[in-house]
Amino acid sequence: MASGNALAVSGEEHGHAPRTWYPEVVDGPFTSRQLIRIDEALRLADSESGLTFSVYAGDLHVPVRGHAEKLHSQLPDPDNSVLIAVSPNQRVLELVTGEKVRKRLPDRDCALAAFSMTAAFTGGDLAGGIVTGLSQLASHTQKV
Amino acid sequence: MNTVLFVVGGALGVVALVYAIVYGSSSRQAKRYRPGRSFEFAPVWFLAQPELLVTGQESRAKLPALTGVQPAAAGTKGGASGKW
Repeated sequence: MASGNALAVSGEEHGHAPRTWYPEVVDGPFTSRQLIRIDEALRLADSESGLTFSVYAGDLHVPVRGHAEKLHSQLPDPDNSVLIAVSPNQRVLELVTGEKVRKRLPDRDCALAAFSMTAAFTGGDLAGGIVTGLSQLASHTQKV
Repeated sequence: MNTVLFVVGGALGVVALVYAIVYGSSSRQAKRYRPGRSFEFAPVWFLAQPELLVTGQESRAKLPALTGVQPAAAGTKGGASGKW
């Protein structure tokens, strides 16, 4: 996905489809323990909110907001998806929500989550900030 | 003679073990992102259900066209931005 830059880790545990690991992710910026934490946080956020959360970590082209929105548009159901795009080199974080998500997850709550995440990033905890953001965004999403 | 070998060899063995633990682990973790250093990794994208995007004929067929997707019209997407 994403111009061949792909991605993606995850899968179901406990009797569902086997976990699939992708070389790009295993050799990526996160340790195995961090990957498991992010995976767990993603699945919890998805099940708790009914939305599709995704996390992108890598450089973003300028304008970064436009690039993040373009990535968000590549998700299967953008209107019901949330993208967390983190660029450690540029020290930039972009949260993108779809049109329908925006009604359940206001921009103000996204800004609060962004504050928490950037605080963690400032402390050097990239994975921790992502997990915190996922948890916060999912918990602030209004139930249907 | 054996006593000398035992004492010296044991000490060298301990030194080698500690060296392997310290530098072996650090070289393995050097591939991971360290705060403050440049992010020299291929971009990664995580989804709880990546099979929606990377498997299945329908998804594969869509991927080439998706590279030309334009950003949504202004105002339709929400979210927030941050810097640190």
